Amino acid sequence: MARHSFSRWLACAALSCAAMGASAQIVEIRDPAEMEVQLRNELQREARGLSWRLGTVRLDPVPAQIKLPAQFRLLHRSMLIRLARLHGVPFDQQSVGWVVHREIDLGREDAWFVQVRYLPQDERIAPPSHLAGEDPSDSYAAYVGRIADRVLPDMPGAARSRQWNPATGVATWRVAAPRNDGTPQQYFAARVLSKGVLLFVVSNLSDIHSELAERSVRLIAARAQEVAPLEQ
Amino acid sequence: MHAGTGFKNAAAMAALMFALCPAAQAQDEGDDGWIAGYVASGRAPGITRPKNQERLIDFEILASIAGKRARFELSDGRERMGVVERVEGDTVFLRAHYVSGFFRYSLARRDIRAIRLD
Repeated sequence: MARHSFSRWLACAALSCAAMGASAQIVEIRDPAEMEVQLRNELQREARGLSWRLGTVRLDPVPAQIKLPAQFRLLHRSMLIRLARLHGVPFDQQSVGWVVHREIDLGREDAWFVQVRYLPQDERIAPPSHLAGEDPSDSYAAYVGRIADRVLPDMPGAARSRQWNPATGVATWRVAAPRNDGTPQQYFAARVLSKGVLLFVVSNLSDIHSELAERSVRLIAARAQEVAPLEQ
Repeated sequence: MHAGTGFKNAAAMAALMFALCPAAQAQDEGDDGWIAGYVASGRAPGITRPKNQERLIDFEILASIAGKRARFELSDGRERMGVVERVEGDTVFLRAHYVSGFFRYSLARRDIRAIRLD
């Protein structure tokens, strides 16, 4: 018989019940294969009939818009509440939407997408500066580090492969998984706006596809720009 | 002064810089084209193929399809499906969905009768 990490599965079941505030104290133990099928069906159901946005889309109330590449489309945050839980990614006040390749089926467990998040800031993060004739790479890396520390306050100094592209105004970096258990790295791109940071994240792509993740966050971030907020 | 004027000017400047900057455009087009090619080649995960395009694969190549979903027919007649995370020796580690996220488990090679990539 196949060896399942059954104790881990039981622990997951108990934790999930606790996290959901379940009043029932009895966790019904079923065949994991049966659970898999049930939850796959739930994911497929949830991914049907989604309302997509194409072309240039405003992210109101965030003062920004994205000119989506032709092969991508945007799913507004209002469609994400259950999908985010099923895909195991955060959904909170900072969630703006997901940018998803048109070929990707969100009803699959291996679907990948770019999460768009907006983090308001009290003050704009000062841009990089260096003296004329100096190699700017150090100030660029420091700038990206400041952005990363601001948007990921729980992980100071965690940003790796920091890159700043002055031509596009996009900062990129990656954060390694805390444990070496197959959890993929997280790939980030950021665009600093006047009163916040627009963040683009891929967190569910295996490291074997790291270039796909890096290019995706960079491409979508480069297509974002600040716009005037809607008048009240 | 209108509150949005500053934003409009900044946005217009940013758009103009992008339009005039060959380096920015080149990177944008490079990323766009590279992603299109990667997806079209079938290497990207998350794409549902028509049923008649499912294919049988060997245990040996599981490591090279990490991140993709695979269907495992087991010796006891049951079927499991999960995202391949890694392979260690004769054991494949998979990720599958659970109520509030996912859980991980492993399958031993000797218990697997067939593997399909869909």
